[in-house]
Amino acid sequence: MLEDLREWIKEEASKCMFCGFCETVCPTIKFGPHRGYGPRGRVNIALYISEGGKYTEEALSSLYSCLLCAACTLKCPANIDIPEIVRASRVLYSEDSLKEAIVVEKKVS
Amino acid sequence: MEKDKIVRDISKLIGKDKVSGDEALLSIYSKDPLGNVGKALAVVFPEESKDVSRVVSYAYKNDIKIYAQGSSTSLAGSSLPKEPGIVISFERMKKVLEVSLVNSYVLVEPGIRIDDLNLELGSKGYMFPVDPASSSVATVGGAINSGAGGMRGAKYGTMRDWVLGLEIVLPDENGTIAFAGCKTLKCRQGYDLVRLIVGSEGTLALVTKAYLKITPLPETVIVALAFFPRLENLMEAVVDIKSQRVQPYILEFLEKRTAEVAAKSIGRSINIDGHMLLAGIDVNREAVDRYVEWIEKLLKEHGGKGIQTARSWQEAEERGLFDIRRSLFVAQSKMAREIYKNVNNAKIMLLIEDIAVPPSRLIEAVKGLKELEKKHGFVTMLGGHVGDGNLHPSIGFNMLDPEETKRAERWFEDLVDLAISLDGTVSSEHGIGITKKEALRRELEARGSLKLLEIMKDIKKVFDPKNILNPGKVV
Amino acid sequence: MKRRFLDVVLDTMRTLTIKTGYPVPISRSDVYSWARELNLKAKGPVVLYTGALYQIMPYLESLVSILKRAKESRTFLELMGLGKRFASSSLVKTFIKVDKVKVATSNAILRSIVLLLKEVGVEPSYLYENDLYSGVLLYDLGLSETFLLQAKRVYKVFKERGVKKIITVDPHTTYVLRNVYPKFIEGFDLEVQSYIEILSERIERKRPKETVEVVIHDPCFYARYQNIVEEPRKILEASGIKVLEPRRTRRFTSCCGGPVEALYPDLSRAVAMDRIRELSSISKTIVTLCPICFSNLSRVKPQNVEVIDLALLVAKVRGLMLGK
Ligand SMILES: Cc1cc2nc3c(=O)[nH]c(=O)nc-3n(C[C@H](O)[C@H](O)[C@H](O)COP(=O)(O)OP(=O)(O)OC[C@H]3O[C@@H](n4cnc5c(N)ncnc54)[C@H](O)[C@@H]3O)c2cc1C
Ligand code: SF4
Ligand code: SF4
Repeated sequence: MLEDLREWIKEEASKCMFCGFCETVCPTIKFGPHRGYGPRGRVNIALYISEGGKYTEEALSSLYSCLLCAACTLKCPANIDIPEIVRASRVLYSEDSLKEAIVVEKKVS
Repeated sequence: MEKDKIVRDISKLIGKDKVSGDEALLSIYSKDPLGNVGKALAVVFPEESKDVSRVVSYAYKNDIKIYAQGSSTSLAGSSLPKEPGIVISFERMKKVLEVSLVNSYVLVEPGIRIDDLNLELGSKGYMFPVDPASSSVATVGGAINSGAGGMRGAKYGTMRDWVLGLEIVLPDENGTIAFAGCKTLKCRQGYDLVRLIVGSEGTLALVTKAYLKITPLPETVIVALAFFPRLENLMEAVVDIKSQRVQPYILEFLEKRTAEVAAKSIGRSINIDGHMLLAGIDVNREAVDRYVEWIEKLLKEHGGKGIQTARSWQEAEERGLFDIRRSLFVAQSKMAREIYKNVNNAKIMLLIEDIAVPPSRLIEAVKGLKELEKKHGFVTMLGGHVGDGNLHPSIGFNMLDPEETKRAERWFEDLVDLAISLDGTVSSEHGIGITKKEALRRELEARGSLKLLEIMKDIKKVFDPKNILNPGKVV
Repeated sequence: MKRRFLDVVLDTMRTLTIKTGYPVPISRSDVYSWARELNLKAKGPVVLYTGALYQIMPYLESLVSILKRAKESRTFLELMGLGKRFASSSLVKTFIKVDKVKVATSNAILRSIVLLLKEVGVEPSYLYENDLYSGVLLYDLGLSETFLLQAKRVYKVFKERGVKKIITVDPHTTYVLRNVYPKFIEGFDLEVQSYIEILSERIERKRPKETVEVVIHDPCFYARYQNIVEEPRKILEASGIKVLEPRRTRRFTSCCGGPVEALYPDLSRAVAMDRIRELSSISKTIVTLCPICFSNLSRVKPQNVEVIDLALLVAKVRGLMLGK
């Protein structure tokens, strides 16, 4: 399951052409400290992680500062589902680092 | 030098919020739209000229390479940190410092995006006319340094026609801050260093402020769209427009199949009856009717089909007359992805070229490109600015396939020869970067001017004796 | 492994939801107290499901400010056992200080929704103590296991009560029920409609005494995720309210910044201020139709600007009795 998710992220995020068109409508990049607070950054950080990169501090701020507002999807020439990539990357983090499934099982039983 | 130390040192110099060595973050400052991947050791976010100066001085003393970045949309690999080094991203320096209508200039920091600048100028009835298709993303600093142009090129020229003066930081021991050029429209300050910096792709100096010329927005612009079964007819229409003492505001062209893919990619079901011509003409409001009638008649006389006209830019926007032309990049990338849809393990690389030929030779250029398509077997997307003879042929190939990569290289070599043989140039607006160095050499050689390449190399040495600014680019 | 603020927030929400059914320390009676005087039936095939989003917003604000304080003082954080124990301890309730005015506003909005539905002849039943949280924030934060657990709980409640159709009250809950639940819950067969969609089909024209002019702020989860754009306009206009459009509107609307309030409060505030500036340059009365937008925009609005929920405004101009 998780591997499928990782593969999906990799496939979807690889479509990115780094054109940056999505950045022009993203509400967070304007007030964030760097490119990671915009959709282009988020997609490519997700890609970095799906290829085995670490959830660094900046990777996490990039992924968790996303509003999932989907404004970026209006502009993306590659039709990338950017908010879904962000959500999926958050799931990976929860599963990898927070061991979400295990915690939930324990709590329920 | 060790990465962590660089980050620590720079934090001390300009503050820890302005530099990062975070691996994930570095990965997004080590890429470009062509699919290149570089290697940034640290990324620095200066907030004022002094920050830039301090970092440059530090890099000079420690022999560290510096790569300037605006939005990293360069199509020539210009902004890529090819070798390990520091990326200086100008994204936080994005203020409009002064707008002066009486002096016809605007003073800006380099990180402002062109469209954001125009939003501000537009409220005063003015504009900065250089409009690369990437203008919503591209920064002023990046556009200056790549010598960008756009749809309005035939009428308004490119970046080199609009920069009055530049504050720059030089790659020397002190990170010297200097001011080149003037605030005035006329300026004879010895050798024209401003024009030298424009298009220098961050290899000579770093731009920290720019005085740009501005111009009033036209009162109104009428727009016409038409399709021509034969390219010859389209060109005749263009010549006809020009010979009636009209210099169009925009004059754009899409080859038939490209127009089809572009229309499809944005879900438009419009009949594409041939090669597409999109013309905009700036006129006074009172003259709108007369010009609309005139252009309609003219296009019809030359065999134009599916003619649509709009009485204002806004009307054209609302009716989507620009949509197909604006989707050229989408079409280019969609086409490439479509072709490789069923190829496992493909990493698609796009070549989006920017040759220019004198407009009188456009027909030959398009024919030549068709031949190249046959010869090398790449589906070629083609559009461009007929007004100034600038064409954007593009192909996609699988960079994981060595044979295909070779073939793409040969296609590019032939393209260069084609441009040169038609009295054209290999790059009209994207710049040389890493992808067109050899092409530049060939062009100069063909003109018997190789000596100039030596002069360029010497100029680079004078500005940047330690070769720390964007090494390996341009020359 | 180093624990981050992010982990603490995620853990807190997860633990609270697993234990209590809500991601914030709210008691069940506080979730349904708004419905007390409306005499809604407890059973019936058509149910009003709030998903508690309106109700939990004031609690979320308070929880966030506690966590923020905790972040600033490490000792506090250690004292609280790094979120997990904090969330499960009864201590948390003593720390939570909800703004009574905000609670009253949320409740008034929900009552208005019911009154409006009644006006168009729709009389839904209500779940009262089983008006559970939909889990949408957990879904968005990537806590998929906890979300799934919660979704199953919620679905079970619907099934046990013989529910056939659900009327939702906010864009996030609508989206997650209609578009996400079916992906995770086998055999999901409930019809989901937002009260906005229902009203827009049935509402009748009514002229108010004085003309009201407002600017509309489309929520992303209606406008972009579900293409609900014309519906709210129709409701407002049918009530004689003049709707003005901001620069970025309809599908091109710009987010209120609310979704990152918990983790990036400064960023959230900056986004909200930017949006408020744009909206208030058109009209000093801003209409929202989402509890998150309402909460986040209200927080940063200047004195002379009013942010009002669509349901409350429409109920008011249509002269519906709100009670207290
Ligand atoms: C979809 C698409 C369409 C495009 N269409 C056009 C077009 O129509 N016309 C056109 O001309 N180009 C076009 N381009 C290319 C590119 O967008 C432009 O050249 C643009 O001006 C680059 O701006 P940038 O901010 O992204 O610069 P970057 O790519 O970041 O940098 C470009 C160069 O400038 C240097 N640089 C950046 N800032 C500074 C500074 N402050 N000081 C010194 N050096 C600096 C960099 O080192 C680099 O060499 C297009 C690109 C894309 C992706
Ligand atoms: S969904 Fe995220 S990345 Fe896309 S525009 Fe909204 S905040 Fe930006
Ligand atoms: S618009 Fe799409 S393709 Fe372009 S940078 Fe953004 S995500 Fe990538």
